Amino acid sequence: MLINAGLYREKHLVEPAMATLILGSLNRNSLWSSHSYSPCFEKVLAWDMNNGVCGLLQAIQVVDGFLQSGDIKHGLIVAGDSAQKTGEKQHYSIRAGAAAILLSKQPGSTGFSAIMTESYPDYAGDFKGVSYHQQGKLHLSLRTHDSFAEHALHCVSESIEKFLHHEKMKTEDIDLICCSQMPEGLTKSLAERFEMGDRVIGIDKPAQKFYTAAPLMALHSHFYKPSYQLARKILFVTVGSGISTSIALYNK
Amino acid sequence: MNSSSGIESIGVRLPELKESSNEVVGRMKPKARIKLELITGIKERHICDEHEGAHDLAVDAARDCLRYSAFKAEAIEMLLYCGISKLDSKLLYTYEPSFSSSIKHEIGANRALSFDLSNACAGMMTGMYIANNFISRGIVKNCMVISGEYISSVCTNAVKSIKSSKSGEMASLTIGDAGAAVILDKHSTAFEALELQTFGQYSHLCIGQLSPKYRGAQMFTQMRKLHQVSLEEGPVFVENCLLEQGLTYDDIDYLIPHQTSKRALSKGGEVFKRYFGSEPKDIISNLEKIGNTASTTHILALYSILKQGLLKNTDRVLLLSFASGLVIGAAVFTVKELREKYGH
Repeated sequence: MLINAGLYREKHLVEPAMATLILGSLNRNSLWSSHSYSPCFEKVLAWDMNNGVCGLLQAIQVVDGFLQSGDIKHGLIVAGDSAQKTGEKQHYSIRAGAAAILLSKQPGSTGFSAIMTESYPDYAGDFKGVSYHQQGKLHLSLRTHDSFAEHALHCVSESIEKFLHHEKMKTEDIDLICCSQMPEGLTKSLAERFEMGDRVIGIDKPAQKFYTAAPLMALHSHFYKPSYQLARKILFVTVGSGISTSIALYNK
Repeated sequence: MNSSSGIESIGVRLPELKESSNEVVGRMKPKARIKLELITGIKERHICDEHEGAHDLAVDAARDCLRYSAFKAEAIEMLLYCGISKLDSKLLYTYEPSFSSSIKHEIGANRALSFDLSNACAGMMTGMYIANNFISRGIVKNCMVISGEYISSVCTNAVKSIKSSKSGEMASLTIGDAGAAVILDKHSTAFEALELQTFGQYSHLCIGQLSPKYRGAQMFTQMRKLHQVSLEEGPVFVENCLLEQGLTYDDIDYLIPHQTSKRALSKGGEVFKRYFGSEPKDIISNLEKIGNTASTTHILALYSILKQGLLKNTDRVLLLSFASGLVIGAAVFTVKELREKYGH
């Protein structure tokens, strides 16, 4: 299975699924021909997950399910957004970038063990990404309400508490929280709220303009650091429009 | 894929406003005019008025589906929005927040796990495929898969652009608007086969995007090539899909293919007949009054024949999807109790 969890596509593409174009490119790439995971050799279903910043963790949830049921052997998830060179942009400061994660079934309890997504419709108007025509030009606009950061922090904190309660865990059981880049200041706020100090990690400042790829960028940037190397239970946290939150527990 | 879920109920929504093929052709440049109705078999299609959009179509279809369902909205545990277009009545396209999130709250399915996905015209079948996995594993008991396709701007914009019958936008003239919904659950008669496959090497053959020039979207299709590769890959895919479940093409009573044009359906039927040496009782077409409604076509056609009382309880139906990507999908099920729900 190949899922594209990216949202803002080149030339405002709506069809086919971006994942099918990615699959087409992979199939044309001769470097894959001898690779054991090559999509050339497998029956692949490619499709797009469209759920903003939370799409990545939800895609992991879907792939995890298909791995558990044995319907697939490997799942590749790609998340990337374009710089949008077509048309006019308002408040669109997303930096072009992409990341990918390949999942396969692991023995024992290693890997993603629980994933939860929540939505808070009262705050649906806080953050919107829309395209429209005005005066003969295509506009892309990201509209963020002043209250988004405050509401997002409230929602994600509540979701983490709910998740920990559901999993019968306490914050002391979590070695590391790896969180999304938005809203600004989320890492610091969560560290204070859950009294976890530097056990809450985010994405480094220069990379904060990445969007759906940001959680993987954050993971990548911490991959070889002692805090990640020593961690055993890692909580991935994303919060985005909707307001939606996704929480995933990873056991190393 | 092993399946333990089946179709519990379906619902649809067609806008009241209609546009005939003659009206579409009448708006085209004189040199570009073709015999659209004759070629495609589409006499008319439903189109949204100035107060309707994709979200509205999906919500109305979801409510229609709930009318036939044993589930109340609050009992829906998962909801997937699978439409291509996310255009509102003013042709504003919403990237985020997700439609599924707002729709579930609008219909009262507040506790449903939800997300949006897209896979061109195979969106709803992809949604059913994912829903079946969640239901089969016992993560949820049911799932509503919905789509609202407000895509007629593709036709409107093609009319403005097309200069000759060789234009890459000709397929856009077949498009109509519609909403569809389906509830899957573990108690209904399970799918006997449910498979999808992407043939990414053909992903460039149909491209749809928001138009940089006009309001709404535009679609560019290499029609002949897409049709050709679909008919090359399709029979083998279907054969393998059926064989894995111990079925053959002979076992299929009704085939509901993706609704594109009369010629495409006719040619497809011939190719399948030649390949398998047999044919179903009927290949369903609802093109004449509806046109090509993208991801909603199979559910619209199924709804129509259920309402007509065409199906017997023992009939086996194959929903066959061909979508940009190239995605081919097949869902096989026996009608059974679904028939009674729709008045027969």
